[in-house]
Amino acid sequence: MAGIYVHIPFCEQVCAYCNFYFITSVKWLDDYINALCIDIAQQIQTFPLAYETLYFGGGTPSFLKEKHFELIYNTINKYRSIDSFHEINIECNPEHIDLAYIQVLKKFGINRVNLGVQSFDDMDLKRLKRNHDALQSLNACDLIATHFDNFSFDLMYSLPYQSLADWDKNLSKVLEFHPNHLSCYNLTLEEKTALKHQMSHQLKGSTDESLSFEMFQLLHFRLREEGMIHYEISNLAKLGFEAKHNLGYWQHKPYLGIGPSAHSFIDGKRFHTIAHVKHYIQHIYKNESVTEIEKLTDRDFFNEILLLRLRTKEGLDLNTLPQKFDALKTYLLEFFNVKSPYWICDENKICLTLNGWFISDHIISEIMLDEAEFEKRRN
Amino acid sequence: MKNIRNFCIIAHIDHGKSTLADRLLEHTNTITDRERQDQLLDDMDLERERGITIKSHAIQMDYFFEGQPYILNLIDTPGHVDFSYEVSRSIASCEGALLLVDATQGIQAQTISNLYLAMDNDLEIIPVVNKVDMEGAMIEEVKDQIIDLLGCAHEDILEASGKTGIGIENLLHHIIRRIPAPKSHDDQPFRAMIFDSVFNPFRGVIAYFRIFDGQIKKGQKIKLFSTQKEYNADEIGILKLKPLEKQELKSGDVGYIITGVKQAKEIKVGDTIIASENPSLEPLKGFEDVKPMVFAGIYPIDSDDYEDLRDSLEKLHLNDASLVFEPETSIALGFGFRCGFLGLLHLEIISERLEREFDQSIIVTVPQVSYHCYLNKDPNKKLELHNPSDLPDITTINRLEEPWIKAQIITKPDYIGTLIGLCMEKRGILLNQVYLTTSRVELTFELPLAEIVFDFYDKLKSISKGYASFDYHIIGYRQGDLVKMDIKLNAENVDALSAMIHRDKAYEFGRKLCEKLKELIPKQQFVIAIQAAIGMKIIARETISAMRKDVTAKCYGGDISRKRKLLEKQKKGKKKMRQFGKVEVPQEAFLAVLKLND
Repeated sequence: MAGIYVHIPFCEQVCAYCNFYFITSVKWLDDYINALCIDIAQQIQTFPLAYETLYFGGGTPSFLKEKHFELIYNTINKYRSIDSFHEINIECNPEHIDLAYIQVLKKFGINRVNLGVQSFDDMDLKRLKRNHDALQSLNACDLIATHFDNFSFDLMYSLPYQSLADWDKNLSKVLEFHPNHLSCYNLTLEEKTALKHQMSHQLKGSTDESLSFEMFQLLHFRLREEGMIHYEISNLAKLGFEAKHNLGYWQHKPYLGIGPSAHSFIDGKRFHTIAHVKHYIQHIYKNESVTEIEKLTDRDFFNEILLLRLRTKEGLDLNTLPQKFDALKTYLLEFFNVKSPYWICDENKICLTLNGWFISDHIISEIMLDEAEFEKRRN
Repeated sequence: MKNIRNFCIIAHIDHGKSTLADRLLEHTNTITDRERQDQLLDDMDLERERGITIKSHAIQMDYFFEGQPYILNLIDTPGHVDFSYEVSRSIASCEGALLLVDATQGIQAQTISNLYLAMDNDLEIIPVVNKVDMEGAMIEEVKDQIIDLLGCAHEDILEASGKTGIGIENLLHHIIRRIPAPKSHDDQPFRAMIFDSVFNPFRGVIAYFRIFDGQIKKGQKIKLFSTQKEYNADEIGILKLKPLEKQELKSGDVGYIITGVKQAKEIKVGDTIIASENPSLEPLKGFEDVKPMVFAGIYPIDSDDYEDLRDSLEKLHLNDASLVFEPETSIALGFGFRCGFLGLLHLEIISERLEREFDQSIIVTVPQVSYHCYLNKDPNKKLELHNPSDLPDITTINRLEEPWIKAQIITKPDYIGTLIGLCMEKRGILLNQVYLTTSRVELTFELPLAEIVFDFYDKLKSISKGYASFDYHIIGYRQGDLVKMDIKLNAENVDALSAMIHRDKAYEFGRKLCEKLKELIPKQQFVIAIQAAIGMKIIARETISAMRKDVTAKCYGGDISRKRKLLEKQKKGKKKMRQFGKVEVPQEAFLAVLKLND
């Protein structure tokens, strides 16, 4: 199984918390899609894998019009039947969702929609510099819930000025739509974002780590009552509704990432695409390479396994650890085989608890190995 | 020999000594432009950065004056209080001294104490007001200070600028006219004083000396007076920009000798070199075996690097005999070394050199002075304590003694009150207060050395807004009410953080140290209690709450590589930490004690 990720790096407005690569100038969109199709064609031929998921991410993929989908689909159809993709997913902004657009999505077989709601509070949306208000979100949620089975809403918590009650209210609101999947992100203040800047200057409120943890717990337990399983730090779903494409990332399944700043992972190598729309288009037209290869060493791969598996509910199963890391099992067991509120180590399986997830960066960085240690411990 | 002039430059840090030395070398054509490098005499990186000359050197200049050739030996002196003994030996090797005073700054404490040393040694003093070209130069005011201090005439004081070269030629003339030639003792048995030494990895120890009596020939057998050990003068010579080998040197000369000695500690500054044949029976005056007064543990961060650290310390010791070290074990830090230093600056220099030149990652523990301990069973038997953990059971101790210093502070009258306050707070005894001029006061104190090891310099500087200079020398040991204060992390003693402290200071010190550690130790997966204790008694406590949040919300396809690298970096930061029980303590925490704020 493999996935294709298509990046649409355009945004009308800069969200205050976002440090992803995008540009606000939509005038390049048509040129971009042309270049993208050339790239898709080349990449699928270079890496002829059993692709089963297709994911339009961004940026703002809901900028894509019917003609763009047509171009992309025609390209893919030359090498793969669109029907072979079990999951076709698109990220949408609430302000783009109307019945007409839903029909476009349906027409192109898109069977999973990811709506960037973030919050149902207008003040929150303003502070996050979102391009929609709560009413637009509610309407969009309604439409999507009516027309799709498999959909997910994105929410954020630990926002400035947000109380536990506010978060509870947002959860109640979102549950009215009976989602089968939710992505709930603890606000991370990324470097070089407007919000980070404001937080250190004017805004207060989300620095309370105890409150932040209470919100995390509330999320976990409230949604558990709704039958949703917390299957990754920021993702909850009813059984069978997990995001297949994303699961692929966390299980080291191969994926093709197409578009500026997108990454691919194939054959133990990671490919980074240049993070510049104009250069991307120019290089593609000139038939020049747009990717850089990062060859993962055994150590890199080992550290990535720790990083990705421990973020999931399934955790790190030592029985499925590649054979070349056999010698490192002892090391991992030495570390985890102590009673801790942060993890459970049962037989050969290590899972972080809710407490552990909340400080997972700390724990994961602790067990990661540098080259010297890695070599020492594997021998 | 009547055409030799041996002199040194007495100056405060930053008063332009090195720049002036450069000009002298240029004017005497000792260096060509091509060889010219700023501040020639300071050739260690560290010295350049700190703007101080750590190890003294000497250089010979040739100069024609009124048709006569002259040899001018400039003996450089180290510029910091910790090296006062080395300074005294350099001074004792000269007949004259330039008293260099920055026209924008006026006279400073170190200048004065070195000036007194020079006067004690009957040196001819030539006062020079430097940086006269600078904006803010107070030439007349500074001259008045000098006149008050020396009782010299106004016209005896020269003006110069090392930067522009003003007055350099004139200065050279005055050096020749005013500084006496070395007294001739060619007929006496050979005696030379070692005023410095350096270590060369190929040649061994190179000793710099000044010949007072007799002469020395290449290949001759010589002895060191203090040990009476015999050596061969494999090579002798004078010190041009590079060493220049000679067959013979005579009384009055300044030069170097190489004997094949591989250990700096064998050749001690201040010692007298004598001939094996017909040896002099009297050493030159003033030899002292300088003892380290400040001790600290130095540990490798990674215990695997212990041997590397030992090698590095050994190499440094070859170079710098005043550094001593012996292996020690800490429960908290594992295997390391207890090292002795001349003072706090010396400690800083050594630890920086270990990190920079030898690429060692080290932890330096709380510095402390050398205490004397007397036990009840034998109250006359002195035990030296270099480490708080060596303190015997408190009930067996008869008394403890700590080293005291005599300190001179020179400052503006505005700051007297607060400076006296500071010294009193540091258990000081004010001995004397003298107005050197209307705008400069000299305060003389007796202080426990231990009190200046912690945060004294910084406070002195901040109180006086930089307008106070400080110099000290050890005057002996005195009994003190001293206790050992321990730091506990989650009830486990961290021996590397233990400190000896005066009982009256213990509570405040404990409270501040706990506060500082709370700042420096990062939040961890559990609550950490930091306690300060004297014996069983807890005197201060702080709590570090458990870490609550360290999580990446989004980790999808394009984030993985960056995230992994980020976490690997986070891990690297942690490697610099030490583990106590379960608590991880960063390197800085071990020096927290030096950075306590009010």
